[in-house]
Amino acid sequence: MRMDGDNIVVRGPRATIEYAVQTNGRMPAKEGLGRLSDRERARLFALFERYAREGRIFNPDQFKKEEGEIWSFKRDQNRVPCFLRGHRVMLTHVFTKKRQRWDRREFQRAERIMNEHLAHEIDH
Amino acid sequence: MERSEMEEFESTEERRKLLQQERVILEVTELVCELMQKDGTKKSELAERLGRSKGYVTQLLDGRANMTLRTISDVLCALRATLHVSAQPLDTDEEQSSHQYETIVCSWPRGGMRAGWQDSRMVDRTGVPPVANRLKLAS
Repeated sequence: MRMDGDNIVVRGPRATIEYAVQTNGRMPAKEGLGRLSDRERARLFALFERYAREGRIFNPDQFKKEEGEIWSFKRDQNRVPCFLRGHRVMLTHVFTKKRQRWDRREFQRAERIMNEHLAHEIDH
Repeated sequence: MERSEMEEFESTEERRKLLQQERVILEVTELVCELMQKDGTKKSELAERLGRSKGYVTQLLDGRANMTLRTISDVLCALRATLHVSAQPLDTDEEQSSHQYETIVCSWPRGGMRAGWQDSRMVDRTGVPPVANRLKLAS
């Protein structure tokens, strides 16, 4: 499992934002962000940076708990599910949502990636 | 230490400008959200004070709506706050880069906010208070 630092998105005094890594070494959030435009990525990176610096986001439309251990960042129609590990925020993947409610499959995907990441992190 | 994904992203001038725009927008929208939260003001209440729709406020806070200085002034005025703006050098040096956040300072009339609010703010990694740490009561 890749854990040599190439999964770090941004470091801050209050938190580090990282990509969750799957068993096969893939980082779906990194791949997802790579498919976005520079503008969309800049909007999300600014949000991640803010969280890393302040340890919170005041706008509940841009960062909130969704269900179980899954939280999400949101800018425009892009959602980035994540889970928290102390001061670390692990991004699972990226998807575009036009409706208010999440597609159930996105929760399942986030949880699957989280479980894979945690299983390997504990092993190492 | 290996460069983070965001440091890589910022490596071109064009992207750096985009990111800086988003930082400034987020700085303002988060400041408004914080004022609303601390003051217990709902979006619908703010919309009413502004004579606009709740959807308009949502767009403003999302950073999608075009925010002129007049708009920002009106929003803060509706929250009984005002804005002080200053510029800082934008350095590539990481040690100094946190200073780039110190662009906006907000104040509000004495008694307009709950006591002890400023004390809850953090200090950034360089020990220099970030923008919101410079929030101060208007005399």
